[in-house]
Amino acid sequence: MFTKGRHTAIASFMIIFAFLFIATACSTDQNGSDATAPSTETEQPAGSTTTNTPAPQMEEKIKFTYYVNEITYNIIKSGIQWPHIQEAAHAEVELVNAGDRGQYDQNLHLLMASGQLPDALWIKVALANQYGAEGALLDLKPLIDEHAPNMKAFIENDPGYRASVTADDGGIYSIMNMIAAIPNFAWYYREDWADDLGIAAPETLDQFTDMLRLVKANNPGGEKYFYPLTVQHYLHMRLAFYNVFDFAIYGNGVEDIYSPYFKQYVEYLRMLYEEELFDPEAAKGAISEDALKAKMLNNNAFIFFRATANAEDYTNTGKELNPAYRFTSMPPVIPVHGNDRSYWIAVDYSDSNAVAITKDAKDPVGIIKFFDFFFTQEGMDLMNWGVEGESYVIENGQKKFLVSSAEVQGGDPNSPDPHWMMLLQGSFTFPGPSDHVAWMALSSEFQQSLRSIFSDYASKNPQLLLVKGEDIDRRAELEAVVLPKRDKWIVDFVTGEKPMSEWDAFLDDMTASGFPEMIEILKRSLAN
Amino acid sequence: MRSRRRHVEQPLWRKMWKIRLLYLMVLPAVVYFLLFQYGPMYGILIAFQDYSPFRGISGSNWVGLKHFADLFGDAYFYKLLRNTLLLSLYTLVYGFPVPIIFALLLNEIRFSALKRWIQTLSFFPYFVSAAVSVGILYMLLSPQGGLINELLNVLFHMKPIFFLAEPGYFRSLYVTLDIWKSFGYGAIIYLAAMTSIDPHLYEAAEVDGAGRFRKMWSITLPGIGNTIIILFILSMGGFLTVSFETVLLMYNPSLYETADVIQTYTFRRAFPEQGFPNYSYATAVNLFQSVVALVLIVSANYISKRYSETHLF
Repeated sequence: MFTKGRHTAIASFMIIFAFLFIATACSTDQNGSDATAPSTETEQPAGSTTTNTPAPQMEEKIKFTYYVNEITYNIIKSGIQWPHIQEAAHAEVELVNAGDRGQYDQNLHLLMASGQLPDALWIKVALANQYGAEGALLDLKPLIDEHAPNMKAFIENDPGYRASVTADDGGIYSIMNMIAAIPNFAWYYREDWADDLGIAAPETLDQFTDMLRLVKANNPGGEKYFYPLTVQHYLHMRLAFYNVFDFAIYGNGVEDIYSPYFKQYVEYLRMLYEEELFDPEAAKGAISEDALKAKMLNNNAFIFFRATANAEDYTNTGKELNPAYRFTSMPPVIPVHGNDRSYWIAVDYSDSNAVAITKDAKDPVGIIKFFDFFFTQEGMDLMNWGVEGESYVIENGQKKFLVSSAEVQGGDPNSPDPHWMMLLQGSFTFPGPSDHVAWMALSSEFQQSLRSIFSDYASKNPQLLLVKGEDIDRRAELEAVVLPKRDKWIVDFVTGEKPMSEWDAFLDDMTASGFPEMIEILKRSLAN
Repeated sequence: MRSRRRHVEQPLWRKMWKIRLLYLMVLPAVVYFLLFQYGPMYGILIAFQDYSPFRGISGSNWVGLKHFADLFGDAYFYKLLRNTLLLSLYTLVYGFPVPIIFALLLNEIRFSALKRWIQTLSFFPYFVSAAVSVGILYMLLSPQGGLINELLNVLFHMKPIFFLAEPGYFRSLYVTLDIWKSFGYGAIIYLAAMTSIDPHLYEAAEVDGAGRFRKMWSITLPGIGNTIIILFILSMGGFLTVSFETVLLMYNPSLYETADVIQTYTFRRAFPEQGFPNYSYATAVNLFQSVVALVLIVSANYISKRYSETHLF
């Protein structure tokens, strides 16, 4: 069948192919490490230039690998205060970039499956509790009690934080990062149009509705497609109106649909829709973030409910075409049932961002001491204010920033150039209390001016939701079915697809689907 | 008298040794399939466990058919199954013939440069990602300045239609998008099959007075009949599978009634925003889909074997 020549040719081909196959499978990058491994960078501490009181010197530097996502990696590695932090904490941290946020979670699970754990890693609290119970992560409680006095004092003085980080078995498997939950979510409307129409910020719901009607009738932008009120998500509508109509919400996603006040809220939205005051695309839940921005910039809407940064973004962009284009905010309208007026506010804790020490850590005591540093005054100042003399000064006993908000927010995390981005990214980098004063001071003047309008009305009872144990899975099971159904019913009521006379059928359907059980889980999970 | 040579059956190893180089050539492919296709099938076990990546397959608790019971015991599952089946059925009924028709028409183009251009252009949408294609769809169908609504307004004075918020339009839009993305790619296979048709048949048909469409119907179509049957059998394997990314990007609360399918529900259920991912549940759903696909392929192959000469195996 084969001639001798062909024999040789085929054999040669097979040998070459086998060689290529093996060479490809064992390929490495130029540095000789595994091409599939995340990139690493060891940061060398600079000479000490800090004027802060140094942390107690240890005999040897604390050295460990810290497994983080791409955002965290980029924010930290070129952060101007990073060498100062390592110097002050007497540490040498090897950052490991394990992918962007979406990829990071997958990589984390693969890491757990591989058994090759780094010393410390960035993780969600719920995952930390699960993996901790399985033995992948250390219980930090004994370490904190003995080696982290600052962290221990903070946890003991903050019951909400303590409850958040404590797992069902009583262990602490992660230390939660914190954000500065400043007043942020509010109504933002076109101030230039309001001035032209002589509109003052409405105080009551009726005034709010009349304002929308007036703007609709006048259509200041002259666009064919114009609906004054728009939002990106029904979640934002609930946050905007839960206090106005006084129906309970749990966390930020689930409301008490059985309350008659919730029905009143839906009827109100339906009225807005019928009068063409409520953007139909938003009413149907079919609007993206880009679409929302396009509507605001193209004069297709007048008012939206979201964050201050959005109002600033739209204003800055809109001004390029129309110098008069600007947004302002307003206090919350007076609730219809006599409760105190307030806007929703988040809690300071970020249970999606926490740090944990793995069972394979070579120096867990050193690592916990490093993280404890961020609970000292020096550590908090470095994280929230930066380096004295470089990013802030102290005048008359008060800290004052030398860097501007634009300078901080304009930093490019992908550039090797030093930046101050760590100042606003405590939740992404290291645990430690956030400084609300620093956060507010670092906001742009525009954001500060907007917040000054409504900051007094931030809710005094931000909700902390701690779903634990079997409730976690059961909640996920219920939410997968119940929330889409609820959304569909609400959309149908608001858009007129279903009459309000079917409200009881809606409640029955939700009850049959498990909504009451979901509410009970969330009520149990409320920590305060 | 002629002597009869007795046919001595050679041992198997001797036969294999004789063609050892052929076996050597196929060895890398066999190793690849063993390592990356058959080997990982061991992971199917996690469908019957409460799997944790840290504990691994051997260390995770065994729960038997719990996840399947959860799946089939959920009343909502049957609605998802209906949506998935309808979507797949529409894709099959409307999407399967399009590349065939396109290939047949393309084959009739005499100007070869034009034929190549059209084929190349038709192939481009295949490379467009789901995110981009859904984004294009949003722009085209936007009630606010979208091309389609503007045309409807200008030509028929119609008010804007929220195509992407009306449940009745979802399946049509999904199938249209799927056809747009895949018809060029699918036509390539049929065009390749057409090259194997004996050109003398066309000459003979020409002599008999057959027109272009007659030749297409009587020669070209039967000539690629085997390919059509094979691809149809293979397409049965994806009957319980839809393009997850496309659905996820297109659906919103207004569309859940028609757009919520098995995969999107499994994604919400198995990978919640908070909490631990439930790989076991996702694997159980996938296993169910795979078993159904296997049954459908075997059945389709059996029917094809019984009523035609063409079958996959």
